[in-house]
Amino acid sequence: MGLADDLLEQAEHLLKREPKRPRQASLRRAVSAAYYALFHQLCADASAQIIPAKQRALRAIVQRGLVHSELKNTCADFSSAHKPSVSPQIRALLTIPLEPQLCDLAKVFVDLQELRHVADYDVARVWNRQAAASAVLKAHSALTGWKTIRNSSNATIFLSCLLFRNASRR
Amino acid sequence: MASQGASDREAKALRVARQVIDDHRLKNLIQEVQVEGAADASGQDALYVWLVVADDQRPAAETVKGLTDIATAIRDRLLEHATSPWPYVSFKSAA
Repeated sequence: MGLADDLLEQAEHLLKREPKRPRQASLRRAVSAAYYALFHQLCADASAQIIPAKQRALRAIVQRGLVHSELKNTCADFSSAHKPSVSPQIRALLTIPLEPQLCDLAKVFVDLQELRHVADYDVARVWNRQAAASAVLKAHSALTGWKTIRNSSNATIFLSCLLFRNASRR
Repeated sequence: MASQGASDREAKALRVARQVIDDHRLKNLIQEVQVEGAADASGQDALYVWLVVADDQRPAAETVKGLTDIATAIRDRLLEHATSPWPYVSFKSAA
């Protein structure tokens, strides 16, 4: 299993770690791990677009260079199946409508990035199991769907836009 | 929180959320809906929709799935016209 799958498994474990009264730390870390499962999957897939597998160290450097906020903005751009918010040149390359699995991944990424911030930094927020479980389920569903379409033409364009956000906006 | 003085945007979000909830078989699990406009963690304009639920320490998988479907449907309805402000839909405890 890759890092993303391991993080998702960890999130699911943390959700169930205390069967009766879950610790806030467990629920918060479950939400955070669910987000990072998506984040690392997208970073790995995006870097694989441009760096050969044998250049492992270079792939790691490229992945490290991806910025959370830019990934979120690009995901927001791809949240609409019929009207992705991209440049005319990029739009001409896309097959419209976008696959629902692509849009779902994009929307869940935006959702979970915000939840991750809340989980990690907002100590005033009290998490319940339903909220954390819902976040983990969304990550699981989004990743499962993504794996069915990540070799599609639209997915390749999406990953390229994650790497080169400026190109998708001009 | 959305109230008499809430903005049109928040009032509309509240209306959409209630419509989605009313159409769902698990509507009785949602005790209250709260809507608040604020900046998100990246500083962008955002809309927060909170679905207030009673604590359930062992929610069944189908309950979590149903609640998630409600939250997703509300988000998608609110996204139909624009991605800004982004509607973040989540759950919080009644207490």
